[in-house]
Amino acid sequence: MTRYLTRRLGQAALVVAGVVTLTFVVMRLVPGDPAVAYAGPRASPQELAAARRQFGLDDSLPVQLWNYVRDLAGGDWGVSLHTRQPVRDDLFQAFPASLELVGAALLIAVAAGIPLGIAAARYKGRLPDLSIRLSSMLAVSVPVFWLALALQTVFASGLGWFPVAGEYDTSLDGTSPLHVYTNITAVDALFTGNWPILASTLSHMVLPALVIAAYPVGVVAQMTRAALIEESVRDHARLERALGFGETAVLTRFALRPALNPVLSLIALVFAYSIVNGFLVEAVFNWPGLGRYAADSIRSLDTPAIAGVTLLVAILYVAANLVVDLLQSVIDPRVRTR
Amino acid sequence: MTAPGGIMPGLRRTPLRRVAGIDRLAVAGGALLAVIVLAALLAPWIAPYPEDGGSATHALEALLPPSGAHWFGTDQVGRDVLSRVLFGARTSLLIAVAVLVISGVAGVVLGVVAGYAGGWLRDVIMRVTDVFLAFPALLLSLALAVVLQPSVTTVIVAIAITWWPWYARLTASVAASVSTRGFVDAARCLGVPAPVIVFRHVLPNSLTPVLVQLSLDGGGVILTAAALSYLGLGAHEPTAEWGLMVQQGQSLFTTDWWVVTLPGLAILLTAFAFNVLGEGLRVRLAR
Amino acid sequence: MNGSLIEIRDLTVRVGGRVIASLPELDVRPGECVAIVGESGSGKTTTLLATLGLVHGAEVTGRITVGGVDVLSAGPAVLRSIRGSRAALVMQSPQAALNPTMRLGTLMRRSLARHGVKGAAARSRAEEAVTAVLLDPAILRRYPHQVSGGQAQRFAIALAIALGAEVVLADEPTSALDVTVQAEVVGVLRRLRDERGLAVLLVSHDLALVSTIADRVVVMRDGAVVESGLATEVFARPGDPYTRELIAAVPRLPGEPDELSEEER
Repeated sequence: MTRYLTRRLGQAALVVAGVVTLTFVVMRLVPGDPAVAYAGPRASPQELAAARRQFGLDDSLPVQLWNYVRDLAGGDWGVSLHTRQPVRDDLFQAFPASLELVGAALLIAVAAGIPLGIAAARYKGRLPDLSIRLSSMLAVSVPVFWLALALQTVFASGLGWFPVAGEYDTSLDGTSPLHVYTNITAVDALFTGNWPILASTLSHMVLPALVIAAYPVGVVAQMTRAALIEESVRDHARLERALGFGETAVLTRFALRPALNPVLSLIALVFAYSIVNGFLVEAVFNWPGLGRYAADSIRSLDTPAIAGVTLLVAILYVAANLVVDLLQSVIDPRVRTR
Repeated sequence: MTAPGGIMPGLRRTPLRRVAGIDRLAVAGGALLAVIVLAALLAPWIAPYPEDGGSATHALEALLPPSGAHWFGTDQVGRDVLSRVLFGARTSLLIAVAVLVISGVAGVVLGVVAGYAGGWLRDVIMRVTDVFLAFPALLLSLALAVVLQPSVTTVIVAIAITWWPWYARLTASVAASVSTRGFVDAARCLGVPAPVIVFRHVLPNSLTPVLVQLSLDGGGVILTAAALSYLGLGAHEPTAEWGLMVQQGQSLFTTDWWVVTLPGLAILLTAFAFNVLGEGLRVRLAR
Repeated sequence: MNGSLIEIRDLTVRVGGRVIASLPELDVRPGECVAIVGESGSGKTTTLLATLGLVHGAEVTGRITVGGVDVLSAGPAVLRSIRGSRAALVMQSPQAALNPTMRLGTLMRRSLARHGVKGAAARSRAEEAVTAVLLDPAILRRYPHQVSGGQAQRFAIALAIALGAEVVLADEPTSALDVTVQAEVVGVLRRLRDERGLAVLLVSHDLALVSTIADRVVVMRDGAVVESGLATEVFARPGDPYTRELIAAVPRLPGEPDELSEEER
């Protein structure tokens, strides 16, 4: 187990190193001089030269790469050109907001997708199965930005049931200021008992979280169904039927546990995917997360900020994969010796 | 953005027994897709206002609601939305086919070499694959689109770069198991050169799962391309592109719903057709 | 009603119009072991599963009664109530037959609760049944992968005992086990038959096993009965050439490991 763990961690580190290099290469390709972008168009040659020195743009590329890696490892992710703040601080602000949204979406996905998968497996080949499968395929086919616009138009602008945009009603900052611990507003509000902000955050979250949840609900329902059907034709399911249990009991009380393993792995992978998918939704609902930060960064050709977001998401992806592999090796000992 | 099906290849496939309705489903998906492809091919002839696929403007006819003359209404500069949706199918399908061909060929070639060779070569190829796989496709595409100037070609290149690793990974695992079969050993013993073994014997026997995955991924490519155009990083005026149409009409959603709703539905329907077809093929193959 | 626990008349199982198994007559009385023998693909397992109404996607005709209940006309609720409590199944592959994520005790507890036995009564029944198959009650706290094949198989028999089943339907119960463990499981079955009058309907292709335990034998080939009668008579004077073939094959395969894990479905 230890050997497998070491090897797997080594691989992950290698991939992260590759990601850093690739990010660096792509960032060097971005047109426009970061020094000009930082110092402004009317900067004097001296100011420009100072900015070039500050960013280390005079060094050779390998030296720049080495410096970049060294800085990243030391926790220096550069300074954003448009917020003029350390990228790391910006990410610490924006990531928890994205996490909040995606976390809520995944909760919805599990709460809806697993029961739907069970229902489909229970009525396999019949009308409920067919309609659940078709709806799942529809859910994974929907363009998120369009769904976001549609829900926003109908339920926020139109019917007025939910707020149109933002994370919470910022006028509440005056009446009941939020004490920030985790930067995840809903969590901070919950644990400090700040009910007005909690209620406001939750109502702001409903629509964007539902939109992001569409894809995970679809894949979780499909995977749950497939895994349950696979379990339900195994020998143990036959014994359980022979002990007097009906189809529903066999599925929910016996087959569900082993069937959840692949579903859990899937959720870890869908998490990283949903973070990126959420970018588009954040843009529509003006949610102060990574997506909005990325969009602002790209608009202003903010190289360090784009690199920071890219790296963060890539590392999240590598971490999610690592977690999946480790989970599976715990479940299935044969994986370790591969 | 990864493909909806792109997440699945590493996970186990279900040996489903014959499930009622499944083949009808694949047929339905295929038929729907065929209709869309036909509409795209015939767009210049069947679109009610052919010239409106391009740059024509009719200020007096702007934002007309759906009617007998304009089934899907008209957009903010008076172009027929139905015609633009039909022409948009050409753009979306072109992108989908181009991305799948480029990334499919690149992924399969690298994957089959990695799977056959094994050892250090496999390790190097797979680690490079992992690096590209770790990149959020949408982000890399965004960065590339900034470098390469927004255009349909940029979208194709950007998505293909982030798409091939899925096929490389899938092909490598299939090719590795094909390479252990008797006929490959036999060819090796007879002194057949490695490139011939790889491309004449291993490759043809490793293709089926990739082909199914490609049809599953069509929907994902369509969605990613639409998202990039929506962000202003893909097709631009006067090209008819569904994501772009949604972006340009988004402020009109409340007042003139048809401008945004119908292109969005076109994206949904096309991605859905790919997914239904791919799912049907997958289940059929697993059986 | 003739005092039989299981009574089968004119049973025919068809899949897609093709006859998979047909059995004109079979009775299993209390304390008796009846064996259906034949090679894989001869329709034995299908017959066994049909007894509990567990054959899906097949057309079953004729008459099957278990404990006086007509299996083919009974509703699903009635069928579920007799499964396990009147006739219980013991499957071929002992560990695959147990849910890998569930402690043996949990399966036992849920099964007892399913048939209305709960709380302290369930606990004492479980312990009594496990002890009756010569297992340590501590095994109830284990997961399937933590017990041996022989233990798992004896636990399956204990489930039947705990639920009060009068007859055990055993599908190749020893073919996945090695020789000494086989003897252990057979010993337990024989003891339960002698001490408690537990009846056994055994399906096997292993004549060595059958000859040590069966009172009566039904020989099947390609879904049809070729010979039946008292075990001693059939083995001493086999009337059908196929039976002679099977018997002749025994010495060459002493306690053979199962070469065909795929039973007919």
